[in-house]
Amino acid sequence: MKAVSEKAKTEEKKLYPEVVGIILSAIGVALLWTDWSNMIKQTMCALIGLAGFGILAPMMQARRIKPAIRVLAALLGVALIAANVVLGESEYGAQNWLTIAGWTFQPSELVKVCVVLLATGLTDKRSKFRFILFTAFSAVAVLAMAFINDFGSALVFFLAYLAAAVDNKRYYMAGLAAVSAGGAGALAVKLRPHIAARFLSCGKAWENVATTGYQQTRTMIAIASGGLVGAGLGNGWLRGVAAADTDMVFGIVCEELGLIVGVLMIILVLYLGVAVLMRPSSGSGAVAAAVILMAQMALNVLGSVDVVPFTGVTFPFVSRGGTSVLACWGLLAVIDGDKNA
Amino acid sequence: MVIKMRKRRIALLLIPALIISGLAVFFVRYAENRQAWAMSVYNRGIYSSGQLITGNIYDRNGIMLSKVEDGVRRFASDETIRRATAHATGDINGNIGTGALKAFTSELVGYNIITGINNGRSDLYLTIDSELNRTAYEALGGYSGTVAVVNYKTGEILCMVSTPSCDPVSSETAEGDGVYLNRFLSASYTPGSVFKIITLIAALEEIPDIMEREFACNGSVEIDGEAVNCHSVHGTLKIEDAFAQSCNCAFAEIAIELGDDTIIEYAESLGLTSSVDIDGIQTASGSFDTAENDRYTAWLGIGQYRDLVNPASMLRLVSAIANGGAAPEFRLISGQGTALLSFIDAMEHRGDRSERLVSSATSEQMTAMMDYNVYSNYGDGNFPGLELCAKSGTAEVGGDKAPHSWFVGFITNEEYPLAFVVVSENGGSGAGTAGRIANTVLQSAIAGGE
Ligand SMILES: [Zn+2]
Repeated sequence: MKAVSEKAKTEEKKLYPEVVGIILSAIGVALLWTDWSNMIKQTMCALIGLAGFGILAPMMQARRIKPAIRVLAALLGVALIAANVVLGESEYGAQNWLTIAGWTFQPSELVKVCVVLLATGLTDKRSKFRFILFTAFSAVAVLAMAFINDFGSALVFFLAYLAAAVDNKRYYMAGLAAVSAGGAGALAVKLRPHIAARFLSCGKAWENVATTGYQQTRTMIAIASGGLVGAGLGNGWLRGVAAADTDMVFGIVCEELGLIVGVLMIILVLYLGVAVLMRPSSGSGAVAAAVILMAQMALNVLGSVDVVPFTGVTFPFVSRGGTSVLACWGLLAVIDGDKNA
Repeated sequence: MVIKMRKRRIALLLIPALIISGLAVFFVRYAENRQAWAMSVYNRGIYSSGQLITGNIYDRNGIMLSKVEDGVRRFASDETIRRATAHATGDINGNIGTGALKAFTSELVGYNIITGINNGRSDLYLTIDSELNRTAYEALGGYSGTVAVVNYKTGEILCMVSTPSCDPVSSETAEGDGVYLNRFLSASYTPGSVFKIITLIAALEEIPDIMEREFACNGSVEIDGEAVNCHSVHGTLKIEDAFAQSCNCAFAEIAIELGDDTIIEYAESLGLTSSVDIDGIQTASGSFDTAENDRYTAWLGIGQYRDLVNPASMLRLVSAIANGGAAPEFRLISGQGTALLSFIDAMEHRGDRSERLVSSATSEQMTAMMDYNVYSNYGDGNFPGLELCAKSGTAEVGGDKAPHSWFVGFITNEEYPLAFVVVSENGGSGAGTAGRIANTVLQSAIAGGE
């Protein structure tokens, strides 16, 4: 019987996360075809990401990640967060952009890779050090993102922590984290009422078409305008709205390529995410990465159509932005590589 | 052998479950509101600085009424045509709420769920004839009011003019009293004697011996201690002459016998108190007040008192009489530019969508009496060759203003199944002013082969 069980394990359905990455990257690159310089950048980043995926995926198994590498990842992550907090430029609300030598990038995107790296191997019996490091780092990341008003990223990091923490025998820590995050959130709302106001305007986009509902109403108009098949690549007007190709990219896809393609993108991310959660061999890092991808997709899509507050989170692979694309390929590498044999 | 997922991770499925619920919320909203979203004035694909920059409007003969060229909306080159069709077409600033540019935005854009706002072509054909509108506009000759002509078999509105009008191409706010109001669709007037059509229908159905009755008129009748005046001394007359001469004494007697509640019930069932839906445009509805004494009941039945009637609902009623009792579904849109859109439109309007307002027996009696009106009072010679059935109204509007002049009716000739309504505000005699306008417009309609 044992032999049969072993055989079944090796026959576990193989996921091809890179297929999801390639399809979504292709859509993201195609959307930029009216913007050559960014299209080239996006293509380069997608190709580098794909190559990185091929190289890194086999190295992502928890037992291959030495404690020294974990510490290094944590330090790098803290450095990125610090750079973000200190030097970050505010663009449309959240202070999450950084310009170095003319090259703009989003440090918080790369921090996601650090997080999932630290999330690996939490299922092991002897993972006290890993868990403490992961918990401390996650706390820093969530608080820092909240501090720079990037509540979308804060929520993504928080969910990634919960997802990985349930695997550990100290999973009660996840409950503790949830309670303290709730308390911190309540405190933040009390101390900074303008944040609460921003979140309370959710669901009222049509009453505030010129202010807090501007992006969401334009996105909904664009989605409806595209019908099921879309106006054709480059024929939409939503791409002319500031930052639309990152925060409202779902609207651009629906306007130009149609709602069918838009829904397909959602299904791809959800399919991959759920498959990773259901896959018994998935390591805790892979689960965290899957949750990050799903949460980002959901915050991007639902935020832009006024179902949840608009937080300016990117759609994995599709939103314009080299850092974001590279980070997403990093997450895929962990999804593919972080498996318990 | 099935491999089970780790038990604790089952809780994590809450995340995709929440996401799917959120998406469900969005898709429900999408299903409900997609058309409104696409038609939003903030949609830069179809609006530029508040102006609709997609969709061409033509009349029933393919004459251009409004067209977009190089992103700029243009109108007919002839100013009289522009003014005569302004209320049907709409104006550049969107002030005329019932004009096609505002009311038929969705049709002009050709929005559909498959291609959204991008159907390659979006032409809208109205049922109106712009030349007939011009004739009506000129025939109104400076009077404020409205002229409308409908094919009572098909419900197509062939002529719809409202004055004072404006030049739809002008971006300046037009001067004048209610220039942006389409009086046919959105005004309600004191009906005066055209309301006797309603009182007569009620009498035909509620008073069995009405055709045998004789009424006496010596120019006025005293009710509740005050006189209800007639405009003439008619002597003894039967119902058809009472109707043809529009005798107030006779109709006061009939109204009191029917009672105010019965008259209002008939006004309701004949469609005067409800809004007419014309391709999605809701017309104004008329209103009537119950009377506190017999004298007011008399005036209610004569079409004065607090009676208010919308011209479109009056036209609908005479169309029903002309059409054997069934009111046709009024239409302003005759077709759309693409086969797909025309198909969708045909499916929406398939089957018999007329509504029976009066029995065919009553409509036959009414036709005969309205025919007799023209023969005995208005004069066949004033309407040469028209085979006209009509009723005039001279509605007192108080003060020292001249009364509103109404003329409603239809042509019985099967080849020209036309019904019409004319209101000229402060126009004086109904059969005189409004009757002349009606004759001019109908002659033109027949000459034009409508
Ligand atoms: Zn009399």
